[in-house]
Amino acid sequence: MNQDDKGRQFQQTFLPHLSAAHNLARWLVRNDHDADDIVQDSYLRALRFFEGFRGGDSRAWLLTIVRNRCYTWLRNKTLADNVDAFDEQQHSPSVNEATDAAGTKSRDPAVLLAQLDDAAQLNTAIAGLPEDFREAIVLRELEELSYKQIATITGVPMGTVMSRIARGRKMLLQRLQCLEQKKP
Amino acid sequence: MTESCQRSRELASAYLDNELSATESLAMERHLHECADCSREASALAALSDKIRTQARYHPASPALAERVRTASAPVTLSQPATKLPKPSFFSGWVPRTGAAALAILLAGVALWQFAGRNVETRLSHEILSSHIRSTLSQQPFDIASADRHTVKPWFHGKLNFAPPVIDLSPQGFVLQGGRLDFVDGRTVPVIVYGRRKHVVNLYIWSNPGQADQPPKPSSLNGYNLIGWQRDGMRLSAISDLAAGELAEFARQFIMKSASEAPNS
Repeated sequence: MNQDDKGRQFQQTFLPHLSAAHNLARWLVRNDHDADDIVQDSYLRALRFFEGFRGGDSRAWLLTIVRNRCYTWLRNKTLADNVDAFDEQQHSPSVNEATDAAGTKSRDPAVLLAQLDDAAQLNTAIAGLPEDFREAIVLRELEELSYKQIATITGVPMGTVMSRIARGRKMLLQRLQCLEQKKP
Repeated sequence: MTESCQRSRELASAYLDNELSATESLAMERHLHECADCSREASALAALSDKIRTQARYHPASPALAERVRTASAPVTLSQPATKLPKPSFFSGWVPRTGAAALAILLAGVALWQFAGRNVETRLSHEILSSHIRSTLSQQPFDIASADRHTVKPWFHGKLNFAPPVIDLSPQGFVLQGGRLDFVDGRTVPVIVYGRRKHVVNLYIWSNPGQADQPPKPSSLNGYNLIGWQRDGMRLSAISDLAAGELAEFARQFIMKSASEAPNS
């Protein structure tokens, strides 16, 4: 097998997961431009370590790399400008806090959200989840991965995956109910 | 709230995802049957899950990103043989040659891993997997696009020496998208393409007369799920990135529906 075959094999194995890679990165870093860069970077890493890939679940293998690149990016971003507008979003009350307050806090972003339509509300609610819960929900609901695959990708035990998905869903339900009640 | 209610609230999410053991799952089912509160909570979770799957934004890769990644991972530079230069100097030839030698060793390893110990069945699985991946990479994964089986079925006439069953499973959530001919394991094979949400199921059918019926047998390869069975003198194999449970459901529904339609096919 020559270099061309290797490249072809790499592309055959991993290009079908390109959208999964982008979807995860986009939900984690929340902007298109950086998600694109992270995905490209992840593929280059995957290519470099392709020899270490012993077959098996190529999607989980690639998404593990993508996820790690996202977290590195998020860490650097926070270090670089931990006071700018992006972080206001990141440090805004978690869905949990926001719903616990049940809208009694005046700067509750839910008030603004109530004006958005259903799908937009849902997307904003998911985007507002803390990262651990957001990635679990995205991998489960949008990529339809098993708890075992999610455990592999996120590097935590299956039990943790189970409770993150359960809690993530509860947070979303509370948030969406809260928005529903605010509707005129 | 009773103890079993508490347990049920903890496990409702995993139950919905089919991630409980058979015993837990059964206990859960029984409890939901009896307890209206827990049942309501479980339906709310199921509705949310459904809402996310259908309404939450999926961010596919843009064509531009696909092009970037394709180019970045394409092997071009190293594969140019150094012999193209009429008289390479020591350095210009040395570097690529050492690189090439290292690569040759590496690739020999990859090749060994690839081809060692593959029996006929796994080779067939690999061929199906390659065909499936090729189809998902191409713009048009079918030669005839139609959700109407009365359009898809006749399309195969005259192209094969048997009539593959084309079955409408849209009430069961597997929407017929079309059909194509592929070349797998040295034979021309009809492929029926189904869609479920954003997933594609490719169903390969071989004429295989004189064999006893065999129930569906699931397997997995490189993160894809496969399921194969034998029926009415045909060998069928479905592949998808759907969860194993859903693909098994596909096989079950396909077999049930084809049995009920058998007389006319």
